[in-house]
Amino acid sequence: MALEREREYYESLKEDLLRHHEGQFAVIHADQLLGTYTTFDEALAAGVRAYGTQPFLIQEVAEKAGEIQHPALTVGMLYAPP
Amino acid sequence: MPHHNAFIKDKDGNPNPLGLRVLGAFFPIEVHIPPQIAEALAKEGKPIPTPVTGLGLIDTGATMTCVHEEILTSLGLNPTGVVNSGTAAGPVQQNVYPVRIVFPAQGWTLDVPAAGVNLTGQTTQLDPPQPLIVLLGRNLLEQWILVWNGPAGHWAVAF
Repeated sequence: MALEREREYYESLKEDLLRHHEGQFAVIHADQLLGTYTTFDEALAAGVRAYGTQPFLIQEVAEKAGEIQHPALTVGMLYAPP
Repeated sequence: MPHHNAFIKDKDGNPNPLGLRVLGAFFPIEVHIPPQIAEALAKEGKPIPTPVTGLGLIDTGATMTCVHEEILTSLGLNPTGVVNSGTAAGPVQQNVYPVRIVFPAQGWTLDVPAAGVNLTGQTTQLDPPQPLIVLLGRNLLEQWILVWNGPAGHWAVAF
């Protein structure tokens, strides 16, 4: 998957970030933490200012984050013509 | 307050609850790159990709808005994260992208993170069917008031 290095680096920082920045959005590029931001949009703006169009991670600082559900799609309940 | 009303009617102009059940609540929408990235591309002297048009279906079951991933990659977007998605076969990882969704008929513009998913072959039951490219999930709906009046074949949103 994408951003493996950045996600590994986030995991190494997670405990510290949780202590002081829980609920904020961390921006990480390679092994560099750019900063933490109040909203996703602020984090995106900061990441683009720093790294342009290069890939970077925006990670919400939370004990348990990053789980989603979209059951209509995953169990095939949307419509597809025969 | 910006708002949108949709009344589903039969051929005689009467409320059509069945039509609403079959069609769901959808909008013609455009998927754009976010303005921050458009600005960066402009600074780098690169062209701004043309937005992709299609239909977006309101999906109250989706925690996050989902966009057909092929469209996101065609716009040149890089993922900014990864999420775990629960499926019948167990969790799978999906990329998350920043996107701008424009509702041209309403004049609305919303910037949200969206999961890249495979919506190949998904359509609404319009005649002719039209491709569904976005599921408007609860990270977008949290900004909206949604009214679903099944017996009247009517739905509305405001924010």
